[in-house]
Amino acid sequence: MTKKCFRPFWSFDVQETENWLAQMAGQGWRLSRINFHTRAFLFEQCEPHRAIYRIQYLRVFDGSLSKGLAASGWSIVSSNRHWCVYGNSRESCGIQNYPTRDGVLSRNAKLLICANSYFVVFGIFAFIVISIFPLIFSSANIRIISENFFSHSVGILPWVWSSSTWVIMFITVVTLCISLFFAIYVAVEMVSSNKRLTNETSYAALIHGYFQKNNEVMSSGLKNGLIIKRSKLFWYLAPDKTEAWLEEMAKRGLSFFHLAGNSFYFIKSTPINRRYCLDYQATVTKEYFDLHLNSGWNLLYTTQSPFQSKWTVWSKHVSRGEHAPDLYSDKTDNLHSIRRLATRNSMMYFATSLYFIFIFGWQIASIIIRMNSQEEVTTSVASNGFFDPWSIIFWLVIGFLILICSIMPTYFFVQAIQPIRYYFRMKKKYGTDK
Amino acid sequence: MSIDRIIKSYLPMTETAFYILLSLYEPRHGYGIIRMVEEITKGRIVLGSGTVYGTLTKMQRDGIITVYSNQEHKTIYEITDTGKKLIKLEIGRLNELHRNAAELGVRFHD
Repeated sequence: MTKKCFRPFWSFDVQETENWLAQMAGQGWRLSRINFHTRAFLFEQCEPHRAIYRIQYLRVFDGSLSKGLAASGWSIVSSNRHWCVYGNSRESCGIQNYPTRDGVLSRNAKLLICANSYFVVFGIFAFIVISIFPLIFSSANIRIISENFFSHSVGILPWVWSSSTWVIMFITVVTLCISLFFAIYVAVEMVSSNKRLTNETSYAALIHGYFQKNNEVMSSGLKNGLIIKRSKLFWYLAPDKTEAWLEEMAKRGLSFFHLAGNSFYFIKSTPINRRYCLDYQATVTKEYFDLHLNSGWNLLYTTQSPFQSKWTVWSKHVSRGEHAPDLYSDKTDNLHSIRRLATRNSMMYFATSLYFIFIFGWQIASIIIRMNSQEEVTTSVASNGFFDPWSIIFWLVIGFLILICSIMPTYFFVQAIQPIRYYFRMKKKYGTDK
Repeated sequence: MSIDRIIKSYLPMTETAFYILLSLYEPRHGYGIIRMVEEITKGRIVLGSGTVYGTLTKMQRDGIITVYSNQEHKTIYEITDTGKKLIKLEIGRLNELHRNAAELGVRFHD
């Protein structure tokens, strides 16, 4: 006797799916196979028995069972290239090893980024549609648009606003709404699932335990000068310079302990010789923190992003005469990820610079056009020639605007260069990029 | 990644990669690997925790090692069959180097 169940969204909350499978086992249905394409779960009838299930996700899975898991009683029930469902019939106290949760956490974080990107795109699209909505849908404009644009274009059929067009519009709107709700569902599921998964491994407790920031202590410390705040914009574009700055501050008796946005907080202490390391990781697991903490590094700050890409500040005391330690004993391996980070930061600021040039250029151009079309200006120029009050004032104002507006793009352009210089500094210091 | 691409990408191995794989003759957690390598090289190589994290992540993606968690939620690394093939090939290469060094190295003594 077999049974088939469809669970299209089983991967959004793996703990729920695991509990459901355990329940089915208790009712006498053993999972025999999963068809990952059709999301069909196939069960075989058997004796009601207790079983624990764990679902693992890996970027690359070769289907083999590791010895450590086999020794703890796990067996592979069903798997494909990424997913693997393990089953175990032992008591939980008799299970030493468990399949890792890291893959699921990373995948959830990536899906969350997708959902958030969708919201951004959807928001921009909706904004554009809403702003041109009154323009398009006034009947006079529809007539003008269809008469002038479409009938004069060679080879394009005249576009008629009929009932069928409204149907298409309606279907498009409905599809967009459904996809929006789906994206919201995905985002909510990812956040809550990851929260429960990290609670399971006490990963969240590890991080939050370090950052019990007390606001009262902070504000009183700032007032009486015990705590000092310094701003360093774009500190992440040249991390090596920021590290050197923190070490300098430590030598002067100011010890870094917290970072909020671009503000660095220092507490007055005795001058000490400390090494600070700013580390960026695209994917961070509990293992990342365990490794560094066990190696004697102090965790000072980590970004609270749920997307798993993090900046972390580590420090280690340096004894007299000792060579300054580093997170990396072989930095050549790291150059590859430094290059990727530098490229990304650089691109971001180049794009911002271009954006400002575009916006300001557009504004200035439209001002010029508008001013040139005004009656007073043109008649004045026509009658008085080029060197007349209107014209001079006009060009002075334009020149002034251009000067002001070029500050922003130039500023961001300069910032965009910082990561590139950082990469080449690192490359020079640590050797070739493989 | 197919076994041929892995061999091409990893061999000849860096000291870091070789010692990390070698220390996985039995399953270990990350810090245990660092301690093991320090011990067997008599303190000459103390792997940086950042280097170890990066290398282990890369090896996991290439299917050379596999992971699971123990009861204290520590990540344990175990070598796979592909990883075993890889380290055996590397040891073979090192044996050849050693044999030739021992045989011809005497000629450099005055």
